Amino acid sequence: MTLDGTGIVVLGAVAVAGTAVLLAVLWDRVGPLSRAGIAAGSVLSVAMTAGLQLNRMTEAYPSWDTLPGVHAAGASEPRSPTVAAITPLPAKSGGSTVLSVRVAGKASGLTLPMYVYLPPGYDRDPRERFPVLEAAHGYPGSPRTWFRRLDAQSYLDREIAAGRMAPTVVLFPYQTPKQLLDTECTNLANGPQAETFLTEDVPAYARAYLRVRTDRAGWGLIGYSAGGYCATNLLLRHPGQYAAAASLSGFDQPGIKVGDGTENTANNDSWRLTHLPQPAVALYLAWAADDTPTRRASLRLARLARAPLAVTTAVLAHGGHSDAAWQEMEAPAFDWLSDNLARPAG
Amino acid sequence: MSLTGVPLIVVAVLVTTLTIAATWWLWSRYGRWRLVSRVVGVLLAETLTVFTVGLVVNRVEQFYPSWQALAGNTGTTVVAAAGHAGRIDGMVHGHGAAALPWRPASLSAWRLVATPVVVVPSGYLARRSVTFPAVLSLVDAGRDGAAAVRAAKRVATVSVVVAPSAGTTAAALATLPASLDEDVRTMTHGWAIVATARQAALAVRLIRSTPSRFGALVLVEDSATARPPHDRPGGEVAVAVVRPAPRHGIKAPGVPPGTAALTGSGSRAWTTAVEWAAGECPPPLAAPVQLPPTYVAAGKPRRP
Repeated sequence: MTLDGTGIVVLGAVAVAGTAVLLAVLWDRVGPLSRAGIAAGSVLSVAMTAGLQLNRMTEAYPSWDTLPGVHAAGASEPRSPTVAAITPLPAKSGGSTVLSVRVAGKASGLTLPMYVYLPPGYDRDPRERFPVLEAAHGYPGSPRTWFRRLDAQSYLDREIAAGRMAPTVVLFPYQTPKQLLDTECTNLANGPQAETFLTEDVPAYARAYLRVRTDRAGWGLIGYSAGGYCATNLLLRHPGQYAAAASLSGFDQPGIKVGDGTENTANNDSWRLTHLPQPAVALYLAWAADDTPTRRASLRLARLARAPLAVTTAVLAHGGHSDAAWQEMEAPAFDWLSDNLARPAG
Repeated sequence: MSLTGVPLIVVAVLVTTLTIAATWWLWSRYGRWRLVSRVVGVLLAETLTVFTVGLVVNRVEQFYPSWQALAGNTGTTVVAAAGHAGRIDGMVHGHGAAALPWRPASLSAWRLVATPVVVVPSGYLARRSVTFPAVLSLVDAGRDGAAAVRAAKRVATVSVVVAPSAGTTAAALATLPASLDEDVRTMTHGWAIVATARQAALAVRLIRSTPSRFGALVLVEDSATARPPHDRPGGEVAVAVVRPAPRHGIKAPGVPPGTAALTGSGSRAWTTAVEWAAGECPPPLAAPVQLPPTYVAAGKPRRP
């Protein structure tokens, strides 16, 4: 039984019902201590079931061996403290492939799993080198959220098949070694060097093991929610490495303490656009009109943008900060990114 | 009643409290039926408690600001962008690449030596919903035009081959991309320029005057020992230089950092240059699906 499936939530609901029945039936037959025990079990089953449903919605802990203290049997590679494994995804019929890999980051010191989307036709011509997207997930979340909740593989397959998007390799890395440690893709002072991992180690892995373009014209970023901030921030901080980024309901600041105060300066994108020269990159900002925090943040960024930074905006009528909104945004964002990245090179 | 409003939370708290109180009051009443009332009461109280906590969290975090959002209704449908037919589409025949003389309304303002030539790629006519990036070739009059056209026919971009005169200015030529957009199915960004050494300064000025249009510049040098100009277009424009292979024993001077050094001479130089330039462009793409654009006061959304 998977940790992020419907089955375990149903099992939790059965446990909730079971403890309620136990409470009703045994209340008159047992002493106060047992009553308290059953009542505690009842409350615990409700809390656990609610937690399991939340986990199913966010995919923060996509499998059993991502739980703290649980290790997959037979694993021999060095593993990070809690992000221990990545569950292979079932094959889809669109002709694309999703690989589960592990990136041993020399620059950051982080070793984290990653999904890799290989487009249909990836193996057709060994000389062909594909444009690349790095896809950042939200918080709480995991790379698996892109597949289980946002159906990214189907959207990519469909846009590529329709000719609206070039065949593109898409990387879905983890952004933290601990599921509940929010790095916002920054280098935390005295903490994980997530920015280094994402901008040095992940690209180095892709260049070494995948047939991808190595120039900035072929590299882009996409992310939703906290991942949207990641996409914008990494684009603005590394314009020599990425040509375009799409932020879906993203923010303009990390919302965490980085540890060196840069959440108010170099890691605050509104501050960057106000105080630093704007880079020649393309940025796509999408939000739902009723998602007030990201609407305000996106509008701030769009209003501060000046040439050569090119900003494109798109808005949903409503949808909040939800999977439904991000699903609606995915296809237009993928098309826009392909339109702003260099083509596959042969 | 709003999903994130205080009234709903107040109602939820009241109903939850009443349910807990009723469950407690019924706990030891109604004989054997009390088992049913206990189970129903406990389950109702638990469900309502979770629901109330969820409402409070949702009010704080605004995940689902409305009932519509909760139901997964975004009130928005992505639509395929309307493709535009190029004015010269009717002049293209057959399936292969085609070269056509191009006489837009603003031609005289450009003060060119000869009529520009537009080259559409193979399959241009058949792929009517597809827009193409463009390569602008700035050639020396009477020298490189034919080679540039031949090279342009080999790549999957639209190309326009232009022979500027001494009187051609970047400011005047800045209207060329928009003119081409009207006549041919071209993208409004991601273009590349291929220029001879004599046209290099004009190319750099043109890129600077239209910063969001061009993403790459290739200079075609006649001499293996030519030193590429250090005046770069700036921004993040990719730059390459094509020079003949140096003779044995002669070392070609280095190129500025970030500049790709390519080798080729004569018509092969143009093939190399145009192929490299095309490789830096976006691919030809069908009309994208889009979300509605929004008006942003100071920013200038490029397109939806």
